[in-house]
Amino acid sequence: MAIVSATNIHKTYASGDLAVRALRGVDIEVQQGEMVAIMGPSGCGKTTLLNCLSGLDNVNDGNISIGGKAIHELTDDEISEFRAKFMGFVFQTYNLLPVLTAQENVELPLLVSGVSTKIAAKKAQEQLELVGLLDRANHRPAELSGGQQQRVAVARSLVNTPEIIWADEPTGNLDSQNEQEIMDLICDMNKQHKQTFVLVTHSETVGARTNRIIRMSDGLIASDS
Amino acid sequence: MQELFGLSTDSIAWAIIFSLGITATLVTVGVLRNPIIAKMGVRNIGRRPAQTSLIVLGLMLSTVIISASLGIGDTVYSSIRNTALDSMGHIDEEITVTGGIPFSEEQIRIVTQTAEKTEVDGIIYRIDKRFPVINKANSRTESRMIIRGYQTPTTDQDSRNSLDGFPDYAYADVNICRRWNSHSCNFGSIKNLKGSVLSLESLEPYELYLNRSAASTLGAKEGDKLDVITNESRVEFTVAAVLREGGLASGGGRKVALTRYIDLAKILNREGEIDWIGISNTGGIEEGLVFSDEVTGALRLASINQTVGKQIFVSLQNSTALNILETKLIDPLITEEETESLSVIVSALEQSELSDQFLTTVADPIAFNHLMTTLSEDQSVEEGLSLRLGILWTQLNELEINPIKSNSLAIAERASTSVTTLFSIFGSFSIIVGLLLIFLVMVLLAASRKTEMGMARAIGMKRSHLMQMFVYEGSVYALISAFVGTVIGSLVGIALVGLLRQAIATPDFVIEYTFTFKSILIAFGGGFLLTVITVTASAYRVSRLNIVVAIRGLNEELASKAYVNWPTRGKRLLLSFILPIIALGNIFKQIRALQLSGMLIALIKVVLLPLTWPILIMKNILSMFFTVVAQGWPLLIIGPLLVVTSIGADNGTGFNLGVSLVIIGIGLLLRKVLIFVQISKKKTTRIATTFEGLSLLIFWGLPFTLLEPLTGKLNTTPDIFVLGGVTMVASVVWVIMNNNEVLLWFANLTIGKITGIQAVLKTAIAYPVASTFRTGLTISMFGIVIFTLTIFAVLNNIQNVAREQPTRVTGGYDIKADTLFPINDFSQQVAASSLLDSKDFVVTAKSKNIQAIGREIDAKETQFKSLLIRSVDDNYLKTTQLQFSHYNPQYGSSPRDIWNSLLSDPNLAVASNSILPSGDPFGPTNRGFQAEDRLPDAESQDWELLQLEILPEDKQLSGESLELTVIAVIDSVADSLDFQQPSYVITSDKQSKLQDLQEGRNSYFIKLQPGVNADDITPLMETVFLPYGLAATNTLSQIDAGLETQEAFNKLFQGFMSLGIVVGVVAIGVLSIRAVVERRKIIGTMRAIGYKSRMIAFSFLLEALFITLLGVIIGVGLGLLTASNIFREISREVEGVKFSIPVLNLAAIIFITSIAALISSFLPARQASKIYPAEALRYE
Repeated sequence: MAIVSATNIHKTYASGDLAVRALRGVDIEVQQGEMVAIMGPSGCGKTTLLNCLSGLDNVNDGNISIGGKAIHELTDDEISEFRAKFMGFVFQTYNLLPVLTAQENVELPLLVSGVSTKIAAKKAQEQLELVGLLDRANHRPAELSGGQQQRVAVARSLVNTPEIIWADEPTGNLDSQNEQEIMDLICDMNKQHKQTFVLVTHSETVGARTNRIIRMSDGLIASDS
Repeated sequence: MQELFGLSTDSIAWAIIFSLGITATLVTVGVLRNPIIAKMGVRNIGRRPAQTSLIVLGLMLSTVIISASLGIGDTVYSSIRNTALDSMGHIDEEITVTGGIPFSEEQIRIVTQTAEKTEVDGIIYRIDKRFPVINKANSRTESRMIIRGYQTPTTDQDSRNSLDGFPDYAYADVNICRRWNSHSCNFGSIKNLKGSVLSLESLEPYELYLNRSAASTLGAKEGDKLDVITNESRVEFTVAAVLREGGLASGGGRKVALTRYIDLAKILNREGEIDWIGISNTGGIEEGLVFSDEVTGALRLASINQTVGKQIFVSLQNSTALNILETKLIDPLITEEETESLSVIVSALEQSELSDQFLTTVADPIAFNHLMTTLSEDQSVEEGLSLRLGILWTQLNELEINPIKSNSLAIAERASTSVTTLFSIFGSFSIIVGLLLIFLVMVLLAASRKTEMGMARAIGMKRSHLMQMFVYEGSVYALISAFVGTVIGSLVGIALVGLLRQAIATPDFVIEYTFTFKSILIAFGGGFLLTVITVTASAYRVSRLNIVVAIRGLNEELASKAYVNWPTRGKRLLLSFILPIIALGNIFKQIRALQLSGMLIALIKVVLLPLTWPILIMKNILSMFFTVVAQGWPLLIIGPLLVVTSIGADNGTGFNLGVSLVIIGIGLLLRKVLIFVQISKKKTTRIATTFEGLSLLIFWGLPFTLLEPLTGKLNTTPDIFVLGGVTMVASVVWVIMNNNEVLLWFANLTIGKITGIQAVLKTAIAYPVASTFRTGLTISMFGIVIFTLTIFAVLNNIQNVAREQPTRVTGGYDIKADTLFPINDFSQQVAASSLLDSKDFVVTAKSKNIQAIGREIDAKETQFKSLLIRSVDDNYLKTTQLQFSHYNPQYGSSPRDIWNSLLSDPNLAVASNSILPSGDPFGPTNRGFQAEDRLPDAESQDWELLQLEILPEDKQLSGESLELTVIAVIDSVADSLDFQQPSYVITSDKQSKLQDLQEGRNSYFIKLQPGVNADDITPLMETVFLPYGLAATNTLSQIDAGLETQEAFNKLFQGFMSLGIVVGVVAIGVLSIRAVVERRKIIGTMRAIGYKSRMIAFSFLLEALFITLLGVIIGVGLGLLTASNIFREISREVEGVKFSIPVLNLAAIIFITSIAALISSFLPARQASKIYPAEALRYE
């Protein structure tokens, strides 16, 4: 069953007189529990596609449906709520809130969804244990290594058990050992919980560990294997 | 305004011009040397107009406050000055006879002949009296119009013949008139309302001129007939004209009529007598002031008793006075006025020459007061010298020569200086907050350019270049903000003057807003320089950035300073000592290299050496000093030393500073100890800062007199208020920001549990708590301002005691009536009147008010000072309900017992509270009699014998004094609404030595039947007793009016201090804008994990509210603590006051501040909520 379905997506960025056509009619479907890597050279539209699919960015044309919901028809509030309950995000630069501890960062998606603080704290601890960082729960991001920060970010993306996790260059800032550890973690989650992962990456090693690789070029899908 | 903070405003203005010149030169040289740096700095200004506007807004607030307080000072000065000049016209000096008796023939001759020889262009003789007057045309009345009978000297025989009755000796051989121009014969022109010039000579018998104020009250016009009611009859006068203000018609708001001397003399049966002589110095109304000292000196010299003068000289010569005075002259705390007068005396004594200058100086009451005070302060003075001098002085001056115009202008100067100083002290909180804001703005500006600056440093730019960039940019902001601030400050000044007018303006005292060019210059220049100095300090801090931290955008705001070792510091200090040699060497080097621009710069550096050299030496000394001080132990030496010396010198400020240094010293030492025993740095800092902050808070928050048993009574000045407030706020913020995790834990534990908004609250609290510097600074801003507002709010509440317990002010009487002439049988006249019902009058008590001078028997201070006697009848003593702050327990244990003691013994008296020295540093100065060594908070059981020697005005020449034993001091509430608070004693009219005094102005105190309205009775009383010039007042209305004035003053101060809130609110706005820019990417992340746009906005608003509320809570808490300490002091002096928290007022302050903070952060919060997530996530 397709959890993500997008047809004829167009996205153009305008900057003064200059218009950059980032996506030029992309059609894509991602199945439930699938682990997809979107690859391609810099500027080909990978991150734009991920942002559009996840509702972080709007499209100029085309239809996107996630879990059966046409997200382009949702209001800003509705899509925010949808993201909070249905999606998780992992970013290249981790994007943890520097003023919160690891546990608080992981709790945040739950609190946004209205979960009580007690339950949120319990779930966050479970998640941190899962990523092997329970002992660092009270540390702030600045006190963690890059790999540890990304593991916290993964824990944050998974804590509300989303159907789909979007990861934009999740290992882009990591060394090879940390890259492998993060990918092990993601693959485990994918296998154990059948959660769908869509990863944007430059790394062939990362791509090799996914079920499917979509290659993009100039705003179009060049190959899907 | 001539002085500010004890410095001449001229000197301040010149110093500012000089500093502006130096600043302009430095900036110009810098720009010429490195234009690219200047370009890089200044280019940022035009790029973001909104940001520039906000920065200017933030930077201008200090200037606004300075400008507003100077404007108010100028206004007060010019208003008092104009009122004084207006009411005096051309009169520069006025002369009366000591004891209020008429001039003798000889005295008039001396004055007239002396005037002829000095810079005098007019002399005029007068008798005057207040009369009740009725306008027959419309029956309108004025109960106390001043009618002045003037006579100018003339050499014209016909005129002399026509002035039958005027003393011949007054115009014998008078040549002054010949020197007069056509107008000054009338002491300035007298003009009617149409502008036609009139003269006193053109008055027909029994005609008079009315000034505008008198005409308005009487509704009188030219030709109207007025009945002037004298003691015995009614005399009809015709209004010859209504005069414009100016010349002899000047009177401010007073109701004045001018008539011929001879007519008034006849009415009063005083033909040939003169009470008053007015002198006009050469020149116009203001120009003549320059001759005031010369003319006054000449007149004093001519009129004093030379034999007595010689006796004073000999007495001083045969004593240790010379040594004492010489020591005083080298005292660093001596005032300019004291130096001027004492040096004349010292010079005469040193040369053993009884000079004219010596005589005129000792004849001057102010100079003589300086002499007596200096002598009485010294223990080595011979016993009896002060007493002997005091007695001699009463015989020295037969005439009282009062340079009234220059004295009035000196009062204007003192009042305006006090007002400006008061505003500046209260305003200094806001100015400090304004400077903190400038610092915050500049640091945040630097933070937003951190990467750019790091890159610039990486490619070779020096730290000094970064600093210059900021200084150039900041200087432009400072220039614009100083200009805008001065303009807005003047507008704020106008608004505050409106409140001042509401508080104190009367028809006699017109307040017009004034802002002189000099003050504009001081406000603009001062604001600009303060801003530039703060900008330079922040630029210095900014320039110390760590390149890697800056480029990588790491969390650390600014990197710690690199360690400079001791030898380097020492080398720098040594080099700074030989800076002039280096600078001169540099010139030669440039000459040898034939570098013209280099030569010019080297030359400018040499020219600027007087400024830069000491700064550099100071900087290097401080750099060494601070490193040593950071060890802690030096403060444990300096602090106790300061404590001990301050106790010795009775200096409260020094004592407090000393103890604070000890606390900081212990804190610094504690750090060393904790690190030595291997406690982690984080814990060490927390323990040490908590110790420092809490200890300082506890010490400064202690009740003021708690340590007095150890230290004795220490003197404090108003600056302790500023120092204490800032220290306490800083201490609390210091503790909180160094224990931010506790705050976060507490917030999470309490409000963090609220389901639904936990996610928003989490970030709203975590972010400000993590940014210790900027949050601490902003909290401090709010804390300091709210601290002062809270104290004011609480103290305002206390002052309502007069309204709650009015009998403590009124004595239980409903009406107080003052008369011009004695009323023989008040009660009978009431009974006989058809308008008044004697049944309404339950009690009628009488007081005879006698002007006198007094001194304490067996005290060090031997000089007589003004002391009013209220000689009251038995009715008063039996019925008054005034209370006492302290009393001699031998005479009873209740106020009634004390009053009854006065009934039975006419040698006893009670004194007003103003005879006690005030402990209030903001209180008015009492120039009248004050008892020595008596504290306002002493207990009754500690009562010491207080005996006074009093010399009534009528007996000053005969020296026949009376002695009274004071057995109690009246409650301070009784006179709290009288801003002048004269010293007085109340005694029984049975006192034999008061019996034969001439019956003068009396007061009547009336208690009405319950249910009778005093407002209905007062106008009737004034009508019935019009011939006696009776003016009646409803005592309760008087309290209301007094309180209204106080409240208006309080509003004025609160309004002024509220400007500080604006600074805090702008700071919140700046912080919010900065936060939105800094957290753009985080906002994107938050949106990605499900935050709705309104949650983002809400989070920013909550953050602003959190910071504001923290500041407000600290401010309110500390304000209440300090107010309770102040209250404790007040309650020791004023019985029955209650401490109550003005909940509504404080709630309003908190509400308005919070709403204002929310409004200022609303736009940034909205902007944050509009950030599109994908766009924000791309942001680096």
